[in-house]
Amino acid sequence: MDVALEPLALEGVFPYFTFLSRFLLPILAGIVLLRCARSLLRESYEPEIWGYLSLPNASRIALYHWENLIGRAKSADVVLNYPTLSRSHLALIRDDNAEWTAYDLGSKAGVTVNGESLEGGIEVEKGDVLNLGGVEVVLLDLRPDELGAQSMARTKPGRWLKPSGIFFYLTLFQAVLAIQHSIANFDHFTLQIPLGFFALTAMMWAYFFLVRAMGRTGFEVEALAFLICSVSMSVIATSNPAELLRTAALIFAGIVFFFIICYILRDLNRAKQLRWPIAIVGLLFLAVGFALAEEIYGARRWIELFGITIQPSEFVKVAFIFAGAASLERLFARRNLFMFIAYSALCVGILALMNDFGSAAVFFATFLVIAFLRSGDWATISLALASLGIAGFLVLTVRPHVATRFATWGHVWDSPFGAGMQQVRTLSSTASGGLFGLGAGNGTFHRVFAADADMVFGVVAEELGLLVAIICIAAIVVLAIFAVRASATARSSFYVIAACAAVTMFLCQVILNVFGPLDIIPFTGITFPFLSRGGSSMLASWGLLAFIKATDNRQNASLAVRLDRYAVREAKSGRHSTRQSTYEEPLEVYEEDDDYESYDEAEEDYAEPLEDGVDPRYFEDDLWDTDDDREERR
Amino acid sequence: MKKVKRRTYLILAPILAIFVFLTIFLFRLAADGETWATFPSNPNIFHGGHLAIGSIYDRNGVLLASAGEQGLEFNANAAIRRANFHVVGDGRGHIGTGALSAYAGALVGYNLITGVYAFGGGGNAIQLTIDAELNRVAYEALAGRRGAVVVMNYQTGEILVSVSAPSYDPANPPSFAPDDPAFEGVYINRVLSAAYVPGSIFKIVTAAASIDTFADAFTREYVCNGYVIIDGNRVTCMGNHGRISLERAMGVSCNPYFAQLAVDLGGNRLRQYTDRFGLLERHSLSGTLSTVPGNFVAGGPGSADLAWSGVGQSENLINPLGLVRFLGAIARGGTPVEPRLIANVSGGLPFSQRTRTGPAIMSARVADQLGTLLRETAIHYYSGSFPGLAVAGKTGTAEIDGQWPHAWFVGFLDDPDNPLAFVVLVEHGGGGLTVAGPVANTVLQAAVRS
Repeated sequence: MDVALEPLALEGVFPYFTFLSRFLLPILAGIVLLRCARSLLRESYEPEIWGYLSLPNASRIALYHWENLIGRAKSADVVLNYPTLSRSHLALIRDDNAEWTAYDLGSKAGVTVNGESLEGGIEVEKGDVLNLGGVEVVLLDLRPDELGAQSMARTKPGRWLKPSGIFFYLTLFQAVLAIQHSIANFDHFTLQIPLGFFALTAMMWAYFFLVRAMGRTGFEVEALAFLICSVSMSVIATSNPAELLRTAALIFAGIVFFFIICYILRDLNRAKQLRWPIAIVGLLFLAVGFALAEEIYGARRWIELFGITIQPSEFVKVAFIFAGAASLERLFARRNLFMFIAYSALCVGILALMNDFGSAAVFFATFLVIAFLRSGDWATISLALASLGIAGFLVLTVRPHVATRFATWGHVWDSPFGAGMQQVRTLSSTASGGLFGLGAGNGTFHRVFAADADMVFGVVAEELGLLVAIICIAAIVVLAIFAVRASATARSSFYVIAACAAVTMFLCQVILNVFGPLDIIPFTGITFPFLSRGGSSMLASWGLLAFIKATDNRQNASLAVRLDRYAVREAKSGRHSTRQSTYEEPLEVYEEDDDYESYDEAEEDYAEPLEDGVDPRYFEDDLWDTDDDREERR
Repeated sequence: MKKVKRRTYLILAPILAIFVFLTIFLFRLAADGETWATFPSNPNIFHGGHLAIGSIYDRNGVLLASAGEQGLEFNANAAIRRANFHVVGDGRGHIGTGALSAYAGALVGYNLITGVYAFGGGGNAIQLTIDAELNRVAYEALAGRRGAVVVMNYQTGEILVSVSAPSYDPANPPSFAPDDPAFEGVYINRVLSAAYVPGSIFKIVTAAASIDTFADAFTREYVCNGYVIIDGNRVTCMGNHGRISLERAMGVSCNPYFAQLAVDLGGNRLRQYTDRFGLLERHSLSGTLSTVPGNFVAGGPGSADLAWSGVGQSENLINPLGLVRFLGAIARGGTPVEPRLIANVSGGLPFSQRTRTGPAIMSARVADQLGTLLRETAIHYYSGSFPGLAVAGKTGTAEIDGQWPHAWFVGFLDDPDNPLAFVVLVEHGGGGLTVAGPVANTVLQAAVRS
């Protein structure tokens, strides 16, 4: 008797746990989101100084990037307001090996280096005299020990919030999901539910300790991805619990892919060399995919290899970004943009032929962003938009199912069981869930075909509530804002363009995936990054995340940025000898420079502790101490 | 780098798009979320197209419908089921104005914050203001004829009786051909969703306009020769009344009197009064339900159209529930009470269940004199038809081209203990007093008894 009673008593508790979980999940997800957002958006983005230009009037101007534009224009990184200079006169570019190259950007007056006139690019050494239309400047770069001293003076991530805290809340979030799904599936229980969530948690912590061991301390970007992945696991636990371990394996594969892209990006030269090989492999992959793809429900988005369905369009995203990103010296060579335009046209064209208009739209939007970042030219953008209009018109006339999608848009309630069924069911489910949802595993919307991929917002809103669904969107938005902010201190425009392209893809996917099924815009089948069911999408999302990670220039924050161990070691052995000479000047320059609006945040941070025009942090005797030591003393 | 950096602000455009789209969506959700959630294809609350949770009771706690996993369960009595068919709905969505459809949100306990979530299952119980037993009496009094009966407490706005015929037993839906005359308009709730030619009952409106407009309304006389010629058209009468004043004209329902009165009042003025009395408006009741508006054709000054409008013919239309609201306003001194159908909802108050009164639609003097006129009419001209009831009312026989006329009897009880306004309509029934009168009497006698 007692034995029989026990499970009954347990089951009596179930509704109470479900009730509780509905509030716990949005709170935990909200905490993770806010902590990541606060950390990403509040931490200071201190510029790194890579060298100085010594001017004729004996003042020095700091070089804050690897790529510096020198000229008369206000938008130049080093503004030299002499009438003989061209607006964009000279590009001064540093590479991974601390070697500087000067490029004459077609200036009127020309450039000479140590008296020899400059044709194309030439390597510049410390102390070399560059003559720009009669204005002589001298390049002074920083020695490794000076760089090391700077490195240690910069704030490390985790200053606002400890990353392990974020992972702790994520673990709780995953645990609540695992328990609630086990409850909801009590009658058809499968071990995959607890095991799948446990695998995710274990993976997350393994990632944390591994990356910490690699000397990196910033985790917010990945934590946001893990947050959405956890929600994705919840979606799979509802729609197909037998697939949970497979999903966990796919997330693992995604993280491996993330590591690989981070590794490539860590070395700018390597990344630049691999640009076209990767781009071409991607395009070939897409073309093969097009040839082999089977038509499923109107779109030839999938190919099947060895029993695994692959969506080639997802992988091409990474290749597309490699094709589009470029460092500064290339931005001035128009030919490269034409290559990229041709590449984009091929990608978008093949996707359109595959009837995958959602992906085609995402690629086109990304193309626009890359083209604008590279050229800054509104005319190009307008031209591209105009051609899109014509192409769109052709598509509407040639492809009847696309025209149907547009005709249904805004009229879904006229055919709630026909053309508008998916939207009507999404709206029904979203409204059913309210703010807190029906409880994980208690929804019904997942039974609709492809609900867990193309209409995943409805599944999340129904079960976990509108709050968690919106938190998923907000996580992507936070990543995007972070990418924009971080590009203020980026070393190379390659990273800026790549990160902006990656977040554009994320944002456009979110817009189409969320607002199509909600009937705000025409419906199209596309995945929500990290959230939608599908291995290709999961892998590609992690791949794109690496580009965002590569802009994270906070001190030793990012896996995709080289650790400056050597420089730090040098600085430690050199100690007091070099400090004064190196750090006195930049702060004065800093104060004088009015054209410094993009460094607001940094300015705030510098302004506070400034005494007699000197940042005490750079001069404290405990300069070499670790952050922890300083924290303790404070 | 600074150049590229500045261009990155382009990323704010898609972020802005997300923000704008999300805001639009949230506004739509707030406005239409209940409609979305209670659409019958939502398996969270519907099983096989019918509601899976919630129950509906009448004012006395009689179960009308209860939704469960196994399906809908209706009242055990077939006569009750038939009589309350339109008020409750059939559970299959055929009756859009039935409580099962119209109050699905309240039945499942929908709200914006918790959606359709209910701790351990759930669903709400809705108590209607309807008296299911009185509905049965009214339905049976119609005796198979098509028509509508509505009775409202004019002090509280509670609708006690709302019957539309024909109907059928929702527990055993019959199969019938779409053009079967026995089921003509069976899915229409005639109380809410139909408007009829008013015929003579419109004379109440014309009389009210006259009392408010002319100081000599009660002494004003017109000549009836059994007909009157207006603008070359012959407006006929049931009798030849000679010189006649308002009181007698109301009693004998003299067409020439009201035709000439309408011409003297003028089409615009008559239209203004009809509008002010709320007979041309859509009225909403208890949340999502609303009536259809009426219609009034003013015609040109002195025209035959205007004359016919004054006696409720022409293309004039009137909705039964709008009419009951108007009659209630006469009974309670000029201020209408808004009709309502929901008495109570367990576990939440999605609709206001208080009595709401509208702004006065006529002065207390007009209401008083008009009420007295209708009471006198009933006493002197319909005596014996309503034993023991303080009826104030008016018959109507609305001529329809080439068919039997609609039979109307409308009015109220001038009785503080039984403040009831009523409308009885029998489609193509014949004479108002002989056909609609007895139905009204049967229902009112039962209502006063209970």
